[in-house]
Order: sequence, then structure tokens, then C-alpha cells
Amino acid sequence: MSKPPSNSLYARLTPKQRDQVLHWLIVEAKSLQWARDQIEANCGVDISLMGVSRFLSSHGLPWKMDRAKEAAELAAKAAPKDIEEKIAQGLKQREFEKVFSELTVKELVSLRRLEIAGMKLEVDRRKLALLEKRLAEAQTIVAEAKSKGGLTPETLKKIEEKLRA
Amino acid sequence: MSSHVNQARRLLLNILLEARKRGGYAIPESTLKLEICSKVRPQLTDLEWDDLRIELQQREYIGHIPDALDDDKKFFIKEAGETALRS
Repeated sequence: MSKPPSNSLYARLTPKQRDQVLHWLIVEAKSLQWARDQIEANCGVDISLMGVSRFLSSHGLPWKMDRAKEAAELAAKAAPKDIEEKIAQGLKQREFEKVFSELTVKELVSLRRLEIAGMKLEVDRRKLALLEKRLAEAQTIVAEAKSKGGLTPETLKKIEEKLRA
Repeated sequence: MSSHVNQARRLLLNILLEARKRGGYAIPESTLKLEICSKVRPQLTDLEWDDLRIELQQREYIGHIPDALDDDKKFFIKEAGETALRS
């Protein structure tokens, strides 16, 4: 992997902090916004949501692999000492794939949540744009009415219709 | 070749390389598929996935551990796959 840029989140966190952030995002399925706020409050690092997202996509995979490797090695240590090498290897492989698969499923849930949050933001953005458009149209009607002598019940009805449309 | 398939190929080889670096582990196909389909857009169809896996096996980029008791094949990266990833 190429060296991360000095202004990246990776470069600005200690190894322990990186581990904590990836745990929040993958295992605890916390939102990017939540993680960003915690990073700022606990690590004193000011970072954009995009910066947190990039950190997750660049370092999530090796982090999950490291956790799976640790679990495999722990399982091998806990196994009886007299088992055959082939069986010990099989045990490590099983534990590695189990932990890696579990973390992958958890990360998938986090990614889906992020995707849904992104979609909600887009819907809100569109709603806001629509409201702004209706407001501008209503303001035009008011301005026209004022120039023609004032607001009549018909004008008010037109404005109401515009705002409700 | 579509760019999302190229992206999937690279990601697949990269996942297997990371597993190899950590002690020569293999990854089950179901997990590989989940990992790749969650990150590559547009998502790969089952047909694209099968074509990609077959192509990589035919080129000797990846291999799988024979396991008569498990349908979920466990894949690992081969030397040629590592070279392809570096190029």
C-alpha cells in the first residue's frame, strides 16, 4: 500500500485511535457523522465526512484481516498441543474465515446504512429545492399583486395553491 | 471488459493477497462475493461473477482448497495473480 498523505485521517491518528475508529464504523455500525464528531472530540482531529469515508474504504479490509488473523492465532494457542499440524492449520483457517466473514457482514450493514443516509440526504435536498421554488413563485405573485394595488382574496388563493402544490 | 468487472478483479486479487500476507489464509467464495458486491458499483451479476472467477482460475491467478465437505470453495492467490496485481 502506498504511503497515506500527511493530511489523511490515517496519518493524523495513532494506531490505537485508528483501531478505535474502524471498530466504531465496522463493528458498531456508527454513522460517518457520529465517528467524525468523536474523532474531533476525542482525538482533536478536524476531518471531513469524505475523509472518514476514505479512511474506511482504504483501511477497513486490512483491519478486518488483522482481527481475523489474531482470532485464528488465539484459536491455535487454545487448541490441544498434540494435534497434527494439518489439523492445527485447518483450525486456524476455519477461525480466520469465520471472523473475517462476520466482520464483512457487519461492514456490509454499515455500508448499507451509509448508503441509506446518503439517499435520505438527497431526498431532503430535493424537497428543500422544491420548497424554495414554490416560495419564489409565491413571492413573485405577491410582488405582482402589490404593483397592481394590493392583495386580493384571489391572489391569496393563488399563493396558497402555489405553496401547497 | 467493463470497468466494474476490472474493479472487481483488482479487489478480489487484493483481498486474497491480504489474506496470504497474514499467514496464507484462503477466503470462502461467499465472503469474497459479499465483500466485492458491497463495494463495486454497478453490482456484479451472478454471470459476471462466475465468468470472472473462471477466468482467474484459468489464468492460474487464483486457486482453491479442495474440500469435499464444503460447497463454499475457499480461494487463495497464486504467484501469477500477485504479479498481475502489481502490474
